Amino acid sequence: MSVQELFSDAELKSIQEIASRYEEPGSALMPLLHYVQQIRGYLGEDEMAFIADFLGITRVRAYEVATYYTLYYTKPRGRHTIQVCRNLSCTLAGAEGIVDFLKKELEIEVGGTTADGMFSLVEVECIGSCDKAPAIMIDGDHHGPVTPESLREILNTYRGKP
Amino acid sequence: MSELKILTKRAGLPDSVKIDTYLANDGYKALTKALKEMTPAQVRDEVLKSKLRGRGGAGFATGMKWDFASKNTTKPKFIVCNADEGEPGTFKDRVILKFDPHALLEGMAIAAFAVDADHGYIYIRGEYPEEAQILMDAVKEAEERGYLGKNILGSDLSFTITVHRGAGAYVCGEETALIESLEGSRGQSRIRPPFPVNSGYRKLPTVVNNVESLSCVPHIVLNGGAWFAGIGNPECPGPKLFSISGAVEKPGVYELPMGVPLRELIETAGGMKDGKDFKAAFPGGASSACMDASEIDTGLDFNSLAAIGTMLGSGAVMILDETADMVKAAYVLTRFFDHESCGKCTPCREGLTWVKQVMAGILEGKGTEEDLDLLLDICEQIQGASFCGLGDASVNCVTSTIRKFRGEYLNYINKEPRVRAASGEKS
Amino acid sequence: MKVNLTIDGRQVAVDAQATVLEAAKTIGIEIPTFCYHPRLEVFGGCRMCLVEVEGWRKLETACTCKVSEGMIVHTDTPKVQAGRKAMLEFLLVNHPLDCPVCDRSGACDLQDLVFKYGSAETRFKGQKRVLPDRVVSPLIDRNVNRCIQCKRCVRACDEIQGVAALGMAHRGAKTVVVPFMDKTLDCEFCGHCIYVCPVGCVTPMPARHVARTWEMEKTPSVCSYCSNGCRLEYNSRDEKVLKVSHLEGPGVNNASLCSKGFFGYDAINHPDRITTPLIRKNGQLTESSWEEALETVAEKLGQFSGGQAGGIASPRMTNEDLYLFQKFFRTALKSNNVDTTSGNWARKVLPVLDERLGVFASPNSVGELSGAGAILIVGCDITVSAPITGLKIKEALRKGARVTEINPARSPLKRLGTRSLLVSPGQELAVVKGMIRVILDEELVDLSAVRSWEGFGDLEKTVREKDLDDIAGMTGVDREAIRQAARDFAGAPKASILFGEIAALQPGGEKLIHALLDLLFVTGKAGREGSGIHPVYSPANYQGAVDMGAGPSWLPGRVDKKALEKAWGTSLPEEAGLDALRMIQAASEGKLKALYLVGVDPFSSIPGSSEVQEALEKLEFLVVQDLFMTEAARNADVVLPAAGMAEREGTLTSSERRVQKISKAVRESGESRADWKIFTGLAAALKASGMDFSSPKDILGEISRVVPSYAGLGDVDLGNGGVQWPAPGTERLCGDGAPGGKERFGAVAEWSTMEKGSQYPLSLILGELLFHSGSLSRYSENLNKIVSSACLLLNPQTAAEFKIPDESTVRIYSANGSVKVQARHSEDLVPGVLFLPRHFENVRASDLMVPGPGTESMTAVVKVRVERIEE
Repeated sequence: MSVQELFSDAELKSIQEIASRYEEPGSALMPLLHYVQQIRGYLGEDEMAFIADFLGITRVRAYEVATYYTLYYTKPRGRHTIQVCRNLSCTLAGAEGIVDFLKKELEIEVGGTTADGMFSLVEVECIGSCDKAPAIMIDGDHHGPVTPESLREILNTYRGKP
Repeated sequence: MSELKILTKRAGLPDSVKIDTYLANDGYKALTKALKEMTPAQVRDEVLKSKLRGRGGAGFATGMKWDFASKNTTKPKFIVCNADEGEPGTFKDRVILKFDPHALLEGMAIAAFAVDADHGYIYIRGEYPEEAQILMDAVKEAEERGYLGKNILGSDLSFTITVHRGAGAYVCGEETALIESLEGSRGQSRIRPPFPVNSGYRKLPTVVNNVESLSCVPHIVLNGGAWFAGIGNPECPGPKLFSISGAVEKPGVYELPMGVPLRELIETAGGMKDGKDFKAAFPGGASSACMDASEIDTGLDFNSLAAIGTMLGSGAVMILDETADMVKAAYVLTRFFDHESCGKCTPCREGLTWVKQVMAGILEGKGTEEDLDLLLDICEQIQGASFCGLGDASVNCVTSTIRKFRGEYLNYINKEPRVRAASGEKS
Repeated sequence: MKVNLTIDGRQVAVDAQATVLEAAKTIGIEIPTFCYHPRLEVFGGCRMCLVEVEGWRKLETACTCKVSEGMIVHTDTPKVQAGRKAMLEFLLVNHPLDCPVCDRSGACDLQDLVFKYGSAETRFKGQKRVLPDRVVSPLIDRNVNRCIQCKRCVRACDEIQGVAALGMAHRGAKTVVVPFMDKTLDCEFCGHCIYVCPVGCVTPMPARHVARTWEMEKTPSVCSYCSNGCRLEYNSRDEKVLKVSHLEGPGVNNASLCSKGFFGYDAINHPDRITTPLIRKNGQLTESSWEEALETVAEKLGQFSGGQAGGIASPRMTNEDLYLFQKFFRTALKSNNVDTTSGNWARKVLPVLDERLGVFASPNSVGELSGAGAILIVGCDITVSAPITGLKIKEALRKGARVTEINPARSPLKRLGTRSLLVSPGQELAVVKGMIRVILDEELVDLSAVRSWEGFGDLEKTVREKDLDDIAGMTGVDREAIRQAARDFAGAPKASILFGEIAALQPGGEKLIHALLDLLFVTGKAGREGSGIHPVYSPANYQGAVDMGAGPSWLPGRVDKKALEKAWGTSLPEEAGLDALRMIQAASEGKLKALYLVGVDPFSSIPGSSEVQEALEKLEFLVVQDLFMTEAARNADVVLPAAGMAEREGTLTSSERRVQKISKAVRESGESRADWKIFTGLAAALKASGMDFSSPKDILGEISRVVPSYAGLGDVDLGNGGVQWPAPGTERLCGDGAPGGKERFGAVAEWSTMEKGSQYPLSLILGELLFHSGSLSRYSENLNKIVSSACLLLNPQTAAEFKIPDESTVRIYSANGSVKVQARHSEDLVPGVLFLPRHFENVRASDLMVPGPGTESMTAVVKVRVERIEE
């Protein structure tokens, strides 16, 4: 695939801007992966190959980094990803019940995506909102303390979002 | 002891993130003083006098780290702020990042002056995207007003900061793993020595400091190291941001002097939730050995907690009440470490897999008493041989709960009826 | 600065930078390891090498622990033993107990260490991690569940080979070593990953589940694929080579191999091996006995003695084979018409080196290159022509060496940071002269020693005829790049030059070599360690062919006629001999009546297919001795089956003059015989004297008495890295500066060595691939799995000019003929130059190569035009 088919001019410009923030080419890898995931929803093979070639690093290194970190996804997922914290303070506050509720409500397993492609459900470790346990993240937004009722409302607001 | 309002002074102000608010509340006064009235050696001296110890968890004397860094004349040099704040139970750096970002920037600029650094990075955990944006906006403001950039305030110091987001890996809170990650590799720890002050980012001298540590620096410069050393436990002094969560009425971040007894911190957080009895606490997050009720009057500081066989770490205090299931708690934390293990070394990677399976077996009612000895043996070998602190710390939750709450393990093993579930409900 | 410490009660003094592991090794204390490897950066992950250091609370890994003065270390206390036991128990948590079905069983580090330090029982009663099986490559098998995450394969692929095709995906216990996207392995198939894997995770697929390690016989030998002369080990069972394994120790390669050495052994197992002698009777080649075949050949050849019989041999043959080959012709057939297909190159290159350096071979050693601070590579993709030399250059690059390539294409070295000056063949000379100009203009070196040399004034004058702008205009090379290349080369205390076929085999190739020697001398880089010049040519025994006198005008050792007549006790033919091309010409003119081809397929290696065809048809007698039925063999009157690599004994002389023993691992296939044995049989049938030898060792004995530089080699052990002639082993053949009487410059007047053609405007390089060698490797099923057919490469700019889309079919036309082939775009080639590998059936090199005077040089570059054809 040619670069024109992969990214628009504006997107390419953003990529160049991000890369220019660092003298060390490898340092731009993580912010570029964040950017690609932001505009494409996940990290695809062609995009990762392009970023690696662009930075002059090996392609396998881009793949290593993309699979090492929890917040990078190398497969397509729902429009919104619900990340439920399962660490201690949140478990003490009922996180397991929240996961059970969401599984029933969305009719999916953990790691799955709803049939309409709207939501994916994953469990994560501590997100730093322990004082709002049980806490979740959706698309980077922290929510907590959540209850089944408050979750229904929260999900609805996301249904309306792109 | 009453709450302090040193580090959190500006956090509650309207538009606290804006530079004008910051400037109107002593903002950038310390940097100005350092650049115009002090030498780098004098700045370092004050930090040494303050006895400030790293607030990220390792507790290394900040002044000493800066001294080592200043002795290495290789250029360029870097200041890296560790804003990866991943220890379960900690969320105190978030307060500074979200409400007082310029305090961090000013601290970094002073650090740069003190060690002759050329550029700064803030490595902020991927789960804080909002705070990352706040920091980027703050850097822009600071650059526009001349507090970052070339020849700051007309001095020889040229320094600015790049905000760099992590992507979800607890191990990147370890400084050498953080540096690996910043270089664009998998975030795994490096062999030490050499240490980052001599060979860090791009194998160049790098000072890695925690957010809270850096936010202390402007106060030290303005009020002097001796003033700082006079707050709290004189052996490891200073104001401290404690994160407290779990079974308390008002979980949150509280600024108190170093050495405040655990009991008092709980009271400051509104006391035990629903009036339940205190059973246990993890004072330094998942990495710390648990404290039981007999230890509730211990001071929360590096030395006092070390003396009773646990640790302060970043001050991530998780409170468990009488309804808490200690075996389940240890399992949840073990599962965390297993998930976060980088995989580099055999004992942590394979050992935690094993520990997790044995713990799960116990929870499922399939455990035996021999399993407890087995667990202690495995844990001893993990702690003795791991490549980095993650492995070392990962076993504390299991060993301390077996030591202090063996009865709860035996309940599972002997299939006693469950008295309390982890979620606080009576069975 | 030395540091003193105590290990297990014993004193040891080592370098301050040494680790405890290294220090222990010096006094014979072996500490167990998995992730440590002497050729890789320390990793410290397996934790197997834990030791106790007095005063330290925890055990420490010996591989990461630097020694310190007064340190007291214990490597075998109860605490250490418990630690080792625990690490092994941990590894067996997830490692499957696959020993009964694992190819490494019996040769596995994990097995060995568990037996030695581990527990006989496992307390782990849980679920082992089960990763899904993956097939990443038809040649390299990865049994991912057996991986112990030592990362040696990933590190070796990166740090030794410089390819970095492997990475570690995911994290923690889910970590798995995979190629990009967890898909197909796209690499150079060098086998380093297999070499360094301590367990049965990475294994060679062709040998999967074929034999247990203890069932196989291991024969140390030397690879026959190229002139690096790598030591390796054939693994065989029931007279069949099943695989090759890496062999550490002295020699050029220190266990490293390339895809050909490691996987190409199976060429000899191809079902198309000729198994019996064949004699043409009634127009048909029919099976016959050796007795009859030898009688027939002897009788026929004997009729055409003198200048009417000629022989062309392969440079893959051993020294003993080649020595007897030329002795047979010279004594039994009274003919000097002997040559090898590497003769052209040798006649072109070696006399120049002899003239300027007094050496008829490469004056330097391959290993020195890893210490060079600057390396200039001209007309050569070193990673293909001599992969192990390439590894040394990669080592140098990693140490910060500045490497400049003057080539028609960017080589894989670009990954490690080289400067590529891309030029069409013929333009290298201008760039080199430009570099000399910069060195003189900027006084980059002290010229006082060479100002007085003959030709210095001429050199100054000629390089100043053009300035860098002119050269940039002529060659398309950026003037700053030329300047930087000159500065890099002159500025490094140790600087070396390598030149390959493309440089040497141009019409004016000798001039380019003279210019390179001028560059070498003007900067004072001759004859010191890490400094010098390396001719690069890949045929395995090209140097041996020269030394053995397998050429029309060279006698063995290049001794004079009288001396050889004395040594052999016979008279030698007076008439000058014909080289290979002239033999073909003479045959097509009816002047050469009989031709003996040994391991040579003229359609692959002799220019001008029509002339070759005519020649073969006109011959009265053609005998072909080979492993396979080549096209020539199908035309032959007698076909003699020859033994292949691993089936023969003898010696080979590598590019760095290293004479090494090759050993027989398996019996000759079918009724094939070693070449030398066939020659003695023919000589006996002709009742010729002086050819009665019973073994290669016997032959080597005579060689060592006849060839001065091989003196004494008959009595020494030539295994274990052999000896670089002249014995007792010489790394460098010329000392500092220039040998006495040779202080002069070539001062080449020309600026280009090739004309630009109009009818044939493009330059086609008929070259080699990393994965193949000549036409032998096309019989390797293993290597064919990597690539099995030729494909033309051209720059997209040239492609656009001639309207050739990517992956279209084209016809290439030269003055001799044409070839149809698929074309692909490559950004790495300079515009105007095409590349076509010449190993495969679908490209007959002779169809394109142009015969006739002047083209004896052009076996590497041909002028062509190219057209797209519709398929």
